[in-house]
Amino acid sequence: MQKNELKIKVLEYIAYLATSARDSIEEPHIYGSFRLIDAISRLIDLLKHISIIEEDSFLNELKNFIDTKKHTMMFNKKEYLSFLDEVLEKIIKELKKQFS
Amino acid sequence: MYIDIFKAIYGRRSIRSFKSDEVDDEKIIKILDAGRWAPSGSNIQPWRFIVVKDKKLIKLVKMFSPGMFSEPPALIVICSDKKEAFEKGGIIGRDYLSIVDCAMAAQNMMLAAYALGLGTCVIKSFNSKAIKEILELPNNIEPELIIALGYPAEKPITPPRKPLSNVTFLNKYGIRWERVAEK
Repeated sequence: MQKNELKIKVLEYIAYLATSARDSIEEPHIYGSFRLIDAISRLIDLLKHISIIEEDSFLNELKNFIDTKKHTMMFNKKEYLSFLDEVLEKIIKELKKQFS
Repeated sequence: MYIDIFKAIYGRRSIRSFKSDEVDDEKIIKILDAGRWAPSGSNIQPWRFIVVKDKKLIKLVKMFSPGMFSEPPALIVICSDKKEAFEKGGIIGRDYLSIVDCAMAAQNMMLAAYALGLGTCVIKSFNSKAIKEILELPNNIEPELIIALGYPAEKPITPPRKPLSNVTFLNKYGIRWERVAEK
């Protein structure tokens, strides 16, 4: 990836974070949580572009899991909360594996 | 070409993943025209529709729209002319009717799009200042809603709806209408 293309990808991510930081003040509270979880998915995408984690199965699976479940926020709060817990569980398990 | 209005109302879903296929101009124009025929307070018609087909602009708009989850082939940015709304409708026209009118136009457009085999998602989660800058909107033109438009690449589940009996009353608030009790 060209340096300029990478810069655009990074700016895209920064724009997402900055817009979310600004606009979540007026949006429903739960959107703050949603933007953060969505930011993880976008970060994994961004890292793929710099070829750091292209082959990382955990991060790829985590991204797929987030993208499949994140929209439950719109219509099923209970399911969304359980999904957030599952995301955390997955990350904890992976970190424990890395530190073992 | 024409479908039953109830089929469109019950069948429309918010589409958040689109195929890359372009949408014909003829279809977009038909959708815009459906928006133009929405009801409007005092018939002010404060809406202004900006069709965005330029891929770079769509990408830019998406960067400042956390509520947009994929890059659709087209956007319809529904704006209101606050100056015209105020001149013809006063404060209520500027602060209330202009938004309601745009919302009614949006619903007409989304139903028309569905009837034409297209998917839509109406978006409010965007930064107004950024959208104004990107689309070079004059001061009096305010972006109210963005409709992402394209051919659906997903078939979303049917989201739950509150029972009609929970949101309907007969004559006075709080009095249940038995006719809708089972709905």
